[in-house]
Amino acid sequence: MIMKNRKTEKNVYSYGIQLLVLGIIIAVLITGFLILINGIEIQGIAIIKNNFIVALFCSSIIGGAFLSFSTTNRLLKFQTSFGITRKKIYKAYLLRIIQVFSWLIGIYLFYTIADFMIMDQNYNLIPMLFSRKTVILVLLFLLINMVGFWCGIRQIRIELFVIVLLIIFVITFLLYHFQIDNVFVFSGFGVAIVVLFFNNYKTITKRKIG
Amino acid sequence: MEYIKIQKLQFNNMQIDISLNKQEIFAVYSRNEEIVNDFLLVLNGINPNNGSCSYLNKDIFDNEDFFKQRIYINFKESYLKTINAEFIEESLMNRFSLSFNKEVFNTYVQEMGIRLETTFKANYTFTDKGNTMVNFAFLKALNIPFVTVNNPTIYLKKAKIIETITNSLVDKRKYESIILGLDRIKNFKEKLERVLVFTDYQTYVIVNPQKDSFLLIEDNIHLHDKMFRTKKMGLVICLNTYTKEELKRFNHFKLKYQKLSFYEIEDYFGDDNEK
Repeated sequence: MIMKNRKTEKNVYSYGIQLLVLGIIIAVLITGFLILINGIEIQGIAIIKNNFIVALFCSSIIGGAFLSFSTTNRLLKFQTSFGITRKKIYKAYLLRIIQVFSWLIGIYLFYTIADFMIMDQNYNLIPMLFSRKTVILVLLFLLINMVGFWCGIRQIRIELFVIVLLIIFVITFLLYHFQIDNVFVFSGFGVAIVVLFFNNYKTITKRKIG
Repeated sequence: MEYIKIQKLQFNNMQIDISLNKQEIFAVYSRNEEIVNDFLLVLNGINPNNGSCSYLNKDIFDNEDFFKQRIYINFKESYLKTINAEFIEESLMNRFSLSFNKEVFNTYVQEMGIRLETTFKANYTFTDKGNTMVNFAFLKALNIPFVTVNNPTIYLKKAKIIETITNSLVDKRKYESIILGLDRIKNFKEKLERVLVFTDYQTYVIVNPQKDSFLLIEDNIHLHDKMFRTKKMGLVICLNTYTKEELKRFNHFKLKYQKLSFYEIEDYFGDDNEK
């Protein structure tokens, strides 16, 4: 038991150091990137710079979707067989999503603030931070993760899950592109996320698995 | 000592009442392996039971205290992608806080020749037989008191290996409780103490393999406790709860019957039971 505790402490400690080092590396890379492209008027670089956050969010959304899907689709039976309760699995899953979400928001904030300071922008920082695009990406991240979890626990085939993802992406793109009323879109996303959050908890603690 | 109590469990259109005792070799059998699988998942608290199954008077479903004590393994499923004991040990500790005995695992890997049942790609891929054996070695290396094993001898043909596995699984010194989901009854000859049998007639019977006997007999309206249909048309297997008078009456009606032990009944099932 003592050995186990020491090992756990050691793991937590080394995990914390890894996270810190990773955070510093990301910060250095972002700052370096922004300093290097400062003043360069090439179209390709401008596209990369403007879409960096979208690419970051999209890759996290896709990664999170498959993580959520496999948590319940493949791993639930395996983990419960080895003594992890469903409640613990859901809690650990939420913690993981919160971790990824925090990283995402952290990188986004750092990137936007660094961009604002290095590029010496003339406009306000606050509207930049809470742009319509960012809010939709954040909501999409949360929604897709909840949908992934829901599809996984219903043992939906992965091909079907990919189709569901594509449909959600297309709908979101259309809503964004055609500038459909923000309040309506945001509340729709919000309600779906909250409903799925509670539904997922209810389902994971009740549903029969095969 | 009783540790799991099942009262009025609604399962597959049956109502099941049974108590499981520690230090007892308990098994579950059905010709339909899905039924065994479903029942064992309920019995291990993995699937809901509507409050009908309890462990020390607490609902067994998602019960943390029970989960800490027990493991459910289906030897038909693949749990390992390697036989590197160090890697397995670390992974188990990190993910499940389970202790793993590398020496025991390596001993069984060598003894059973598991390396011969693998192909080397990016990961180890085990043959069906190899998968059963590596799952067994893995289980033996864990230190968990309550063990449920589904399909313990699936795909195995060699008598020596079957004997090693079956002898080891019924070792009461190692385990406080053993529940087996039988894939082949014969492989556990003379080793079982109580078996919950799901019949072909949507009923269940609790059998004591040491004491109970069975009748292989032509189907007729006087039969009761019917359990299985056989490969031979018209013949069925019943639990032998018949009185001497009833058996005499069968003789009188020229109804031939044959007494069987629990371990013989599988011989009359036919090809659909081949695994």
